[in-house]
Amino acid sequence: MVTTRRALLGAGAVALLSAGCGPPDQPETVPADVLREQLRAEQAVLVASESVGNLPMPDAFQRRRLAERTRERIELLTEALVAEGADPDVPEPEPPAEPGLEALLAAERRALRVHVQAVGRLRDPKWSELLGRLVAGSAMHEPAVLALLGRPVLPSPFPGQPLS
Amino acid sequence: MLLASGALALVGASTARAATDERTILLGLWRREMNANLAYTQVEHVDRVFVPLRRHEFEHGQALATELAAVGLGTPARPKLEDLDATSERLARARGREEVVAAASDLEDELIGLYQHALAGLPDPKIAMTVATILASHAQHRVALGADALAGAR
Repeated sequence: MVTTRRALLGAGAVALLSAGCGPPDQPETVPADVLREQLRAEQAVLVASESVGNLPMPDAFQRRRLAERTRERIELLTEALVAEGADPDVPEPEPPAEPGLEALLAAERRALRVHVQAVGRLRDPKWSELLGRLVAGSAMHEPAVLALLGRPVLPSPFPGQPLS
Repeated sequence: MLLASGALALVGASTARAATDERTILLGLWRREMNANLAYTQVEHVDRVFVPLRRHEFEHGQALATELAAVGLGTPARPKLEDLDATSERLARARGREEVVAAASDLEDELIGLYQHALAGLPDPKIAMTVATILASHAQHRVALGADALAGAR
């Protein structure tokens, strides 16, 4: 028999629940709130992208293509919010204080972190396909922007992990 | 009371089934990462772009081994060349930059699909987030391989 830390904790939790001593109420995750955070993070990416000045070709083409992919993720999240019966309107993010590729990189990295955190918060399997697409699609932008900045494109084996 | 015991038994059975699925998924992902690591080891001399990919697969394997320990499983023996799955074997046998990039792109695409699919079977938020960051890494590998990965990312 394999006894794990989780199994022991689970057994303890069942014993407590049987005795009527359940855990204190935890704030319930509202999927629409999580989706709105993700939507706002992607909109911040788009605002940062649009505030990048003129780039030479082919970098300008690449930046436009990244923006198209961001718009597609915004559309996916908007559709998910509507399907959830929630309002998809979120306040428009402010442009970055110092516009440019660095600000775009920061916005892309933040968006990926938000999507990874959403994976932890939305564990109902019905969200998994959407979240998987958002994580994979968003993750592809960091190396693309790093390439525009002339930097090594694979800085981490765990992109999007929460900041400690 | 009988009803309550029955409900608890049902919850227990469903929890046990979920735990088994979680273990199977983690074990499968660990095997694929170690296979990919071994395959990249065979071709990393072709171009330096493959060096971080080989290293990342190993680090993904280590992270998954930690999650395996959290669900009560040990780390299996590392695979040998004869144990490789078909896609990793094609990469390990590829010769010349063009062939290696094509095989590596196929492998990374397959891993992206596996990780996306795995998310639905991982109820533990911490494990799911670890898996999500590894999914993100494979998506980035796809871009680093220089193929037109962003053409249809949706």
